[in-house]
Amino acid sequence: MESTLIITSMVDMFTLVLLFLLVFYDPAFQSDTGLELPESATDMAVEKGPTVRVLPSGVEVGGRVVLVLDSGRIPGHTVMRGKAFADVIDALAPLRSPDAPPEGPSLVVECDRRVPWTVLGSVLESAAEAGFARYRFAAHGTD
Amino acid sequence: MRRRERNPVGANIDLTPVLSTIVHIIPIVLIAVRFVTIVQQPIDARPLQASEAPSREVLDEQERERVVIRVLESGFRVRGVGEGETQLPCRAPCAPADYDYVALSDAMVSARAQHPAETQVVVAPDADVPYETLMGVFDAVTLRRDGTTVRPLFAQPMLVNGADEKPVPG
Repeated sequence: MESTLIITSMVDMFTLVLLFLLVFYDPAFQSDTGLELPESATDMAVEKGPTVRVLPSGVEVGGRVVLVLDSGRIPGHTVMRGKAFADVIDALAPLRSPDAPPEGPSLVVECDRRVPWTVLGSVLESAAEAGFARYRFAAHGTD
Repeated sequence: MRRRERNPVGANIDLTPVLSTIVHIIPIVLIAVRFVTIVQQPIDARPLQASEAPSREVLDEQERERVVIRVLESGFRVRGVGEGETQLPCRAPCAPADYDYVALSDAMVSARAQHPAETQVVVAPDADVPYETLMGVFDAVTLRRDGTTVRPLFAQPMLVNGADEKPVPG
């Protein structure tokens, strides 16, 4: 008597697993926004919380572009308050939690590795003006 | 009239080659994929607050006893290790990977020995220094890794404005 092994279900499963891996495998470790984080040797897991994302193309708060940059440069028409970006202050201020720890609320900064200090410094100035006292810089772990 | 032959109803498709291919591809993808880990580096930037932002001269006066790292487009200048400033130039063309993070880490080990009670180190970047270089500086100043041994150095890097090419007096 000949018995047949039915492997159709297994093929289905493997096909789905393969498609899943191929879709989510990103060889350049870049997100669809083009954010390229630098690498860091620290092993501290990133905390959740209010996040500002700094790209060469602009500054995003809560997934919304609040400031447009020119390839990592500050355009001449940008509205500044001192060294801070007015639009970034306005976008970050509502995100400050009222039940923050005594040392003050913290902000996760996801900054592209190519962004110069002059832009990042102004974003931090904006965060300070919005009431954030501590900053946690995100990076790719090397381990 | 001869009827065209068709596969009989219920004939099985031989899926063995398909299954074999998929079984080979999955381990290859799993080995090639590098799972992304997002980590964080806590940074103190309180002096950046507009009302408190110190000028270069005020910073020099207030931070005379602290370890200060200027991150310039030409390399690092470290104060607080021995007398005066220690210059750690980068290799041309001074891209982020060309900075001498190993020498900076060595300098931080010496600075830690000279300032055992200090936990903060001041990092003053030049305007055009990219974030990638700053992250390399943070790694060099916070931890020293010798093989499997990890030694804490300065736990609180503090970012300030004000790097420039002129040397710090005293």
